[in-house]
Amino acid sequence: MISFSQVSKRFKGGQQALNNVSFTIESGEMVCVTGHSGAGKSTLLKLMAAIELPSNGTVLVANQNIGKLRPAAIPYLRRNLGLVFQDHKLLYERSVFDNTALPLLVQGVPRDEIGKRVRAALDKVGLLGFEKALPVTLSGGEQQRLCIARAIVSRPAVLLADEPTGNLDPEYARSIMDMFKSFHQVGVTVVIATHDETMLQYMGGRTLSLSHGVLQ
Amino acid sequence: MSWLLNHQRAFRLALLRLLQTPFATLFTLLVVGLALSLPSAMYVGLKNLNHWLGHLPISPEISVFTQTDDPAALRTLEQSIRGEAGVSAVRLIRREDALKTLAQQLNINDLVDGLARNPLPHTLVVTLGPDTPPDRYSQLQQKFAALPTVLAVQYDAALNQKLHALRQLVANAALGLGFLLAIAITAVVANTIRLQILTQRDEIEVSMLIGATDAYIRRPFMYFGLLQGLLGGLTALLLLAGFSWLTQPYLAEFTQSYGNTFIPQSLSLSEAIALPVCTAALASLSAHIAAMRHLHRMRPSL
Repeated sequence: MISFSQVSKRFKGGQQALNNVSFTIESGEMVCVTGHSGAGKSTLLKLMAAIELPSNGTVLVANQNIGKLRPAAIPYLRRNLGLVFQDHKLLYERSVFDNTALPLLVQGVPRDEIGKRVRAALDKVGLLGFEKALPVTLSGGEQQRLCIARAIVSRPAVLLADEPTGNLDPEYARSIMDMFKSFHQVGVTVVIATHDETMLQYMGGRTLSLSHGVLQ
Repeated sequence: MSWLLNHQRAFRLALLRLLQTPFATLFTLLVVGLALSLPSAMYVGLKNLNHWLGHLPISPEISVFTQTDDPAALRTLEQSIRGEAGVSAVRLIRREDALKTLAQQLNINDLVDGLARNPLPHTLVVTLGPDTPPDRYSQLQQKFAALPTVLAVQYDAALNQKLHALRQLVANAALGLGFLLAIAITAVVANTIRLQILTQRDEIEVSMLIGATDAYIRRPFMYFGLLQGLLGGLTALLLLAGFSWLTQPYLAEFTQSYGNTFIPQSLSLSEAIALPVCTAALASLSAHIAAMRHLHRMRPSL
């Protein structure tokens, strides 16, 4: 599903985020990416979503070469990915429903279909009944769950989550991780970047460990 | 169907954004409307000026003097003059009438009565269409002079030249002004689109991240521009209507002094439709380009 082959990423300022990284994630696999902050976890995920392009090497996602993708093809690649961002990237003046519906609107899904799928996604993350609420009225954990609902609403084959349990207490973090586990169980490929050791142990599965941009 | 759905949603979103900021919208429409109403008013003025010049007794005419007295020959001459391109009317002044008018004007009735025979020829007064260029006059003068039985051909070249130059000046001024103001509209619309994009920055960024195509993101801005252009054009029509309503009494007074032969002209229906349609097209094009430029600049910052 996702394959990195001798991938390096150097930013414009000369900072080396990834150095000669190679690995493969099979379809339906659940993988955690770990490492100290600044180790290149976020960059790794961004390369998968074509938010950044590799400086060297080949990144293949769903058989598409990220480095050689036409700009017009990028949106269609991203529609197969569910992204959970470290900073949530919610629209704060839009309701919970509208935030969740955004990926479906972008894909031109009809209105009644949107209603059904948004409610299903909100149900999965336990936010049913909050449709009309604004994100600011939600707690940090609820905002994270809203972000997850938006990521899964279009039923993507791959879920990429960057520090999904960042500032949450352990109890709450575990419930979030349980959600990812359940997505994995229904066949979704899940990639989670986290620096939280207890979460790594809780998740099980394969771990990719990064240190200063190098895979250990 | 999803194509139609996308456009419907984009249009609704654009309309919503316009209505969300009623004051900003109002001012933008006023700016676009004012920018448009100036060249439009100028255009209407030109139309009126042309119309008025066409009705002036001093409108340039060519006088063709003929030596024949034979009605058939006169008719043939008149027909061959009428057949020339640009000729809009031919009027015959019979030599008897000409003498009578002359006698009255100069108050020399006694002198005229004493004449053994009428020394004046028959005259054909040729009026040309309002858009005839000055060199056509001299062309026709030569042509008419070569016709059989023609004694002489006369026309006021200087007056003709002046009127033509005046019309050209107004037409070119309106065109130039229209061009400048088209640029102004483009700039106004592009600027509102730029501000729109800045305020929608988060939404655009998130949309890009979850798989929105450029066309999807651009579409509401294009409709935003289209609506601004359309409503701006309608505002211009309203301003123009108000302006002509205010000036109507003074114009009437002015035209009355010229014998009331002149009916003030306004925009025709097709012109009134063309104005908002053209501005809508111009504005949506400008919005499209502005959105494309700014979205392109936004991409690397993701």
